Amino acid sequence: MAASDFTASLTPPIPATTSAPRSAISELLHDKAAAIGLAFILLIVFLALFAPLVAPYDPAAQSIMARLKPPVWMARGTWEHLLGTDNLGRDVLSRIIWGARATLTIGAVTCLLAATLGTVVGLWAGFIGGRTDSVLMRLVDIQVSFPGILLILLVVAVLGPGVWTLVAVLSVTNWMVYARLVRGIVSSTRQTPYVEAAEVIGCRPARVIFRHILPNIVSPLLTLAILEFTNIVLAEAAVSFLGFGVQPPATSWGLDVASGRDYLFIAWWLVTFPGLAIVVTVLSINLFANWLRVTTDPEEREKRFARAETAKRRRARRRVGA
Amino acid sequence: MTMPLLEIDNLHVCFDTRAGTVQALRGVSLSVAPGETLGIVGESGSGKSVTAQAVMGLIDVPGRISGGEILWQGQPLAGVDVTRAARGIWGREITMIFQNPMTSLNPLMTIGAQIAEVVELHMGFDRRAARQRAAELLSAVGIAGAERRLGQYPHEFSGGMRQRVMIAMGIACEPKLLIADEPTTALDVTIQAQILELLAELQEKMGLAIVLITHDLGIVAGLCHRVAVMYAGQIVETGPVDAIFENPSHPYTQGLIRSTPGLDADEERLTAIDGAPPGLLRPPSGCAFLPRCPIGDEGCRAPQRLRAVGSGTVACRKAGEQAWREAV
Amino acid sequence: MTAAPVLSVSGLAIDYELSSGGLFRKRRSVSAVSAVSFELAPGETLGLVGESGSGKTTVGRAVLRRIPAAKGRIVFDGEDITNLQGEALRRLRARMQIVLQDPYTSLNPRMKVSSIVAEPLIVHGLAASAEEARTAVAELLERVGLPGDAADRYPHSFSGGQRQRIGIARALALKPALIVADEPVSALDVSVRAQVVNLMQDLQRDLGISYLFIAHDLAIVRHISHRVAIMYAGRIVEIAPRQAIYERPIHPYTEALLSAVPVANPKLQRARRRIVPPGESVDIANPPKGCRFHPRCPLASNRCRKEEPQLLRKSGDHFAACWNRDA
Ligand SMILES: Nc1ncnc2c1ncn2[C@@H]1O[C@H](COP(=O)(O)OP(=O)(O)OP(=O)(O)O)[C@@H](O)[C@H]1O
Ligand SMILES: Nc1ncnc2c1ncn2[C@@H]1O[C@H](COP(=O)(O)OP(=O)(O)OP(=O)(O)O)[C@@H](O)[C@H]1O
Ligand code: SF4
Ligand code: SF4
Ligand SMILES: [Mg+2]
Ligand SMILES: [Mg+2]
Repeated sequence: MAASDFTASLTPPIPATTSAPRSAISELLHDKAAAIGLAFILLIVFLALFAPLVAPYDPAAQSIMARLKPPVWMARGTWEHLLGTDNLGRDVLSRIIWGARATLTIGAVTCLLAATLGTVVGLWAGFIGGRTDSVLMRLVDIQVSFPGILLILLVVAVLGPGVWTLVAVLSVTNWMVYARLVRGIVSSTRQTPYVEAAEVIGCRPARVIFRHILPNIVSPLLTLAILEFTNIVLAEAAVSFLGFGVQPPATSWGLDVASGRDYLFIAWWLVTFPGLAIVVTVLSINLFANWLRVTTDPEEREKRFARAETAKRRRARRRVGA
Repeated sequence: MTMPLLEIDNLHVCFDTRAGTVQALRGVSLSVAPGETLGIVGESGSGKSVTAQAVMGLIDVPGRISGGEILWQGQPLAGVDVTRAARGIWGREITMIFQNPMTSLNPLMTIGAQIAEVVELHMGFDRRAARQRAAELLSAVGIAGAERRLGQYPHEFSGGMRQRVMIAMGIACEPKLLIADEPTTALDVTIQAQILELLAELQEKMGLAIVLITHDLGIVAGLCHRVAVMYAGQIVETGPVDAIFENPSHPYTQGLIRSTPGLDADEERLTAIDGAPPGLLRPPSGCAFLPRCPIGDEGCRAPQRLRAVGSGTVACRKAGEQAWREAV
Repeated sequence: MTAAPVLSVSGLAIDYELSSGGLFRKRRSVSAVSAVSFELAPGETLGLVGESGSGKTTVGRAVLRRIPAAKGRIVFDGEDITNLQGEALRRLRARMQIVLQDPYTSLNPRMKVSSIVAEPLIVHGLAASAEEARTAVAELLERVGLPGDAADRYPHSFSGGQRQRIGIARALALKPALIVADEPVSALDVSVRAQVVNLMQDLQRDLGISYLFIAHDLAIVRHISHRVAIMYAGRIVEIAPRQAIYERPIHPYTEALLSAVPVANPKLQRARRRIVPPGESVDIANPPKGCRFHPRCPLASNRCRKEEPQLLRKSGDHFAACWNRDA
């Protein structure tokens, strides 16, 4: 489109809701749980990105001398290995930091692939409608009713285990939620008068989709993707635990939990710390996603504001009463 | 006089928004007697729908009732501190037809399922009976081919038909009070006449009281016993329907009647009231109509309270004066 | 009118597919509108009124080529547009526009007023630079009587009447020859309604636009239209200059319609003899044989039950479709 360059300058494609990032930050600080969640997510992402600099040891470096050392605060613990070592003398903390890399990468890439696939199918079904819609949505139904874990094991058995096999197979088993969500929103947005007006004006389908329909999808999609991310982390852990996912010497949290389980009774920290990493990550993401969902929905956001106001007033009244 | 069915007493409603507090209702008092039809007319944004929502217990964050209360048959129904969880009243004894039929119907559910849901929920009908009743209701509001229509989705109905579906849902449980928020805006006049007749008939048969919110003065003239005129969150005039139309006292009411075009005239231009109502973030303490009022002056900056004038009440210090030169 | 018509519709029929749920079941369709013919001269307003569900919106959308015609021809500006596709259809959009009913949902809430109004210019490549688009938008907003600072605000900060003006400005941006206005003032205040109708009339006078004006408010239709067409159950049953329609209606349905208009006068309103046609409106999937109005018509005769009347000239340019009534 010849004119697209100045369209951008005429109206920055910012939805009305995010036009005040500063107030969003102050709202985030008001919601303690979400703020802590975000801080944790940022911390983990930072650790993963800079693993080589942050991690005290090479995660694969074995040390027969320091096998099964407990965390520092226990009787035999040492400051050299804050969270202890495993049966081969590898540093648990370093393994968690490096494991974050694999876990986050698998989660992010899978979410991206699944969301893209689902969005395309959902857009296609919702925008064209009619028979195309019925056929595509029936496909989704069929795949939803097919047990996912079975498919994963089947594919892994054929292709052999590995990170990229895992990403592919998790994407293929997780795109359906996105397709349903997107299709629902697209087919109801399609009916709205402003979309009709855009078409009558002479907007090409691509413009109708990208300018008038997609902005309605971004926020629910983002929220869904974040929540799905936690599912992927758990699924990766499960599959790696079963031995079909990430293969040693590479490492991931799921794999660490798996390999630590034989030593559960003599070295509880091998299972506990990577497990804790998974739990805390999932929890942080959920807290933050919930906040994000409300913030990206103008109506919900007003409601949250009003609730806070009401609470403030009530507290004030109680103080006066007392 | 018997006890009023519904009584609204000095109701204040505001909305806490990040831009500030919107004072949507600023001291609204109304009452509805059993079997009576009260018309509420007024500028868009004047608080008609909010009043209705308050009665239905639908004021939810960001909105709140900040003063006054609502009584149902003498019992408190909603107010600053009480909002009775009155499941047996809302949706059963008081029902409401919402303003926007497109957004109040679920686009992904068939019409039949949506009507049946209401009947199942409030009347305890089983599936089959509910569907039967849904079909009856559809024909009662004049939709032909009810059986087939039950299986269709809202977008397959014309605008007017969706509106009639809403009415069918509103009368499904034979309520005592029906609040109809612009029930016939999207309808042609014959169906409008049919629906108004239907409402009048229901009123006679079941002693139904109706609160009719509308822009259309013709409908008010035909169906209502009493009229309340709202402007910027306040009631500016009330009275029996004949008196309001024959002898409107408030300049806004006069302007409203004056700008309703007649069917027989071929005037060159329609008459409008110039200007727009004030924002409700910082409403004026005096008369809100002042900027648009041809006879307003400095004295109108003082608050105007409703006072008895003739057979009704008016909130204007120059009540009864002709605001516009031509007679209304 | 002697000038060549901007729009001429002849024998238009439109079918809708019924949703049937099943994937492989054969789809049924209903005929929503058929045998619709009318012409519209430059600078003329044709009011389109009728029963709700009679197909007014359907006709309007067919004229705009939003839904395909099953039969008939639509000629716009001397060009047959009935089967226009793709790029040609998109270019046609520049010359015919729509104003929608609901001012609250017809503007994209995430776009500023300036980009809403500039969008038609952009998609048709009519504005060479941002500067040019901004000037054009400013002119349009002034034209429809909106304040100068409107361009940088979002739709939610405007009242219904102001939003409808924004919608009109968007429609005007391409300087169309025809605007289909589908109940443009139904959702507005009485006092604001008059402002918008006056605006539309001024624009017509200055720019020579033709309107297909769909509405339920017969008083407004009388005020704005030059001619009026009455629809019932997918047919045009009467079409004539406005004086003739309002003062000498021919078709029994038109009579009923006019008599049902509520007047803002309680005494008159209660005393008025209203002819509310008995019975239900037509189920378009199973229309009655013969004249579609016969089950509800006080004048129905045997012929009416068997043969469907055609829209015929009754006098001058007064056309009606009724066996038993003449001018
Ligand atoms: N959720 C909300 N947040 C903020 N303000 C609101 C909200 N809902 C309503 N209002 C405000 O309350 C006022 C009254 O609105 P209401 O819907 O009652 O008007 P109305 O008289 O029904 O108008 P109309 O005739 O257009 O339906 C308006 O000024 C509106 O802006
Ligand atoms: N998408 C659709 N699928 C199936 N039937 C439809 C569809 N849209 C409209 N119809 C049917 O076509 C008929 C004409 O509808 P249309 O919307 O044109 O009526 P209208 O005259 O504009 O009515 P109103 O005054 O109520 O807006 C109605 O019976 C309606 O149910
Ligand atoms: S109080 Fe004054 S400004 Fe208000 S309506 Fe009466 S005369 Fe007009
Ligand atoms: S043709 Fe017959 S049934 Fe139809 S309108 Fe005329 S008189 Fe009535
Ligand atoms: Mg309202
Ligand atoms: Mg319509």
